[in-house]
Amino acid sequence: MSTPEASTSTPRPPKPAKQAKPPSQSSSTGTGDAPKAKSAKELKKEKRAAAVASRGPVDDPSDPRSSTGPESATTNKNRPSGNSTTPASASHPTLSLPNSSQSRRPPILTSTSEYTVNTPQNLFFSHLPTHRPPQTPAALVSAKLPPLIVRLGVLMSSGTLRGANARTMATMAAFAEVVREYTCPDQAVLWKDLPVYLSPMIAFLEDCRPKGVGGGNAIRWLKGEINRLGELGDRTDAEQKEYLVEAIGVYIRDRIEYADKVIADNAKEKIKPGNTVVTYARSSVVERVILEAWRDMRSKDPSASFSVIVVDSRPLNEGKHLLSALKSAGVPCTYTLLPLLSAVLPGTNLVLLGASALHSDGALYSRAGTAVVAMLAKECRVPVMACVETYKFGERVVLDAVASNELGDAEALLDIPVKGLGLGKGGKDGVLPLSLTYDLTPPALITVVCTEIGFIPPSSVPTVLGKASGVA
Amino acid sequence: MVSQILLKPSDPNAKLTEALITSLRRREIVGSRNVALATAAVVQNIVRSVKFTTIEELIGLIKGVGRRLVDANPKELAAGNIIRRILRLIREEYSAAVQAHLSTTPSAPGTPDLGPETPGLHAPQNHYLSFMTDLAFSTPGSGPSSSLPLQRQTSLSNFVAMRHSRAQAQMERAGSALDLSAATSSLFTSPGRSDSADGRWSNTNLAGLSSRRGSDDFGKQAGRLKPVLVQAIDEVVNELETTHEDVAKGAKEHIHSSEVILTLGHSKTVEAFLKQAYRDRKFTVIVAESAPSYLGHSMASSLSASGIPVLLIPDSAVHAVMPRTTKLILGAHTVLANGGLFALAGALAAALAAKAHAKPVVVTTGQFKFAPAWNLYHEYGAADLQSPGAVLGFDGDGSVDGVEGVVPYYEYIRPELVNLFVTNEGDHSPSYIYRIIKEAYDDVDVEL
Repeated sequence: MSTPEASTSTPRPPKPAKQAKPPSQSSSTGTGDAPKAKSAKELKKEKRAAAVASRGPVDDPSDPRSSTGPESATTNKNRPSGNSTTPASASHPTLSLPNSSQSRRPPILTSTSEYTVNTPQNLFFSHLPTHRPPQTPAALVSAKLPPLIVRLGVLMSSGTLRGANARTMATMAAFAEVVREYTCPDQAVLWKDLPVYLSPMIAFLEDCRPKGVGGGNAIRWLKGEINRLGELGDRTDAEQKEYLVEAIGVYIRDRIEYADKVIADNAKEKIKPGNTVVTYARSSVVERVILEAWRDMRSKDPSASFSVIVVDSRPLNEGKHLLSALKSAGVPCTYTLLPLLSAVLPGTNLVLLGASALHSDGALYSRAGTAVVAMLAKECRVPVMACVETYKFGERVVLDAVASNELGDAEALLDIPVKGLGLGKGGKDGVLPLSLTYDLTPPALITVVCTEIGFIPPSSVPTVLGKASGVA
Repeated sequence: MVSQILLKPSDPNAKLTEALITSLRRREIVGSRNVALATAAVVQNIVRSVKFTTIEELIGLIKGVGRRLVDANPKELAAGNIIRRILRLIREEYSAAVQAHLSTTPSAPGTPDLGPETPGLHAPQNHYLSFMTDLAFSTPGSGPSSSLPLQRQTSLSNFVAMRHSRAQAQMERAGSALDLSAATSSLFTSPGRSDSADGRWSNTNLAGLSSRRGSDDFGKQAGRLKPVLVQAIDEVVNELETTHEDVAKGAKEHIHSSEVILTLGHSKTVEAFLKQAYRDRKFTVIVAESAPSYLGHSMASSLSASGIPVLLIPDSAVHAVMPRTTKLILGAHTVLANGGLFALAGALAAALAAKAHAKPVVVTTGQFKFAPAWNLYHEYGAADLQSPGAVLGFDGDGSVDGVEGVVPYYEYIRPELVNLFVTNEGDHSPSYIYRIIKEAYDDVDVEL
């Protein structure tokens, strides 16, 4: 176990130890741009390597489940060793590249084998990123990331912060804070240096939890915005920072908050008195739509009412939160689990779905189980309305939910309310719990997409994308 | 009026029946196989211990028990199926005995000797009753024109029977119509009673047949058939007990190597099927955990105990993993005559997802789950609901006050979603199920 660690850490460049001011160190080399970029890249590699090293014992097939146990021990061991080697290996940063790329390979192989090793079922979903706790000590100490970002990463990774909107808003707000705190080094240009400064944070957050299409769009927009600073020309750093912070605020407001408001205004028209609305898991937009529709209907006619069927599924059971939110607002609710949905669906009028992303072929990428709901709704001829902000529209097309997905916390799957069914807390050899976080609803199952620019068919996503490039 | 014997309340069988009814009503006994076995056991006990003189007394008694079992849990069709199956066998045995009796006593006055003329009478299934029907309507002597006034079904096998009955009717008319006892002739002259929807007509006809046949009152000695009947029910029980092995027999023909098979819940039939197949083929099974019963966990545990690699997924991932799977194998709760089925809640989603991804859907089931119900009302009313506690939980903090929970056991799957039924008696497509059901039960028993 110690050998791979040593091999990854010995040629490591000096960066991790003295990360505090990398720009000053590299500013001597003319442009001051390329080395800085490299340092950022290396930082990423560094973190990868640290992550790999910490997961080292997983490579040992004889001990499949030991990963969580010795993890903290290895990270601790890893960090000092990295520090100690820094003065020795100050020579060529490029030398570390082949090594770290080598060391980057194991996580791909081992990522799914955190559970069981050498069983064929591992291979089916081995390409998907695995849920694992973030490398907080490495991020804080060696990478010197702002605590704000690390905290955000932990929140996202643990699932405390969930939902594309919440995560994107939190990320953007955190970046606004980071920009405000940021001081551009003397010889550097802000719009060139800031992306380099931000990129390890982005990488760290990505490592904690893939940011998804919406988050990706937001960050791409932010980078574009920083680039535009260069075009705008004469401004002091303070002004530029001011501009960015404000722009981020506007982005959050326009693309998410106002968008949700408009969507709620649009969608609530589709809920009529006496209707029964079905929704799955919890989406902030859907919750808002239902609550506003309820308020609206009640203010017009206090006797009018509609009811909501909250469909839920393990392991997250997010529907419970929606249920309590709706209940406290006084909305009549029915709660059921996904497999039981077909019993109640025939009498309903509308299925409301939230989304993580809407791909450009019109496929809805959303919480696992959404496709099942849409499919059953189609079977029962109930219209399906997806509520999606346009910032979640993705250029990409994925063919199915296996191609790109996230693996959730499989451990939670083994914890069931019914006792004595065979699998204990730790699981069982030969049984691999697998929790996919998302699934893909084909466009054919979606009747209409409700966005802040109105109701559109799922096929119109590319059109909107073409137009949206001009939108702030 | 046919004499109806009833179980006395003090009879241990009555208590057994009551116990089964109670546990059916309380859903203490679930799973069609358990219900079927329990039903068969009760009926066997009744046949073994009850005193009956004529066969229709016994049939009436069993039907009465069957009705009560069905009423106790109308969604559990297996009880009714087993009753029908047993009735069918009892009639068969009786008919065989009648044939044997008749052929050994050819000199009985007024009794046509059917023995030599009807060599195959008791071999194929449906003859017997159609033969009886025709006989019933033609004997009142209304003339040759009405020799075949009622044909309940015309199948190839029935043609043979019809010929027999026609021949027999002619003989009856020619010789011995006068020999009918007063009681039976009065029965026969009131065709209104012979409504085929009325379950009792065949009993009366049986009575008619037996009393008409034989001055030695063969019908009165039906009690002597008891050992044979008990043995017949034993066969049913055996069939039930070996269902899983019989279904699994052809498993390797349906599963090829390196498949990824999706299943849900814990169907014992599917479990046996997969385990059998794993002896010859290596494959992986994905099990959906099937909330709120979470039987998928016990399925996963059981399969992995046999060395089968298992992936356990939440129900929500059924659609997401479908591109990875090659087949969906389901167990059934009840198979209907149209080829649709009731299966564990969640199966519809899986079947639809399989359809969307063009993956074959295989249902493994014993034939005792085939119910002669054509079009069960499969909307909300057909859902067999259970306590919402499993879904909502009894938190006690009032967090779920006023919230409705809907928790059905089973759901209906259209025949179009199923590719194949693998049963203990061969593999059949959904469109053929009605035929198997026709052959397995007597039409008069469809309504118990």
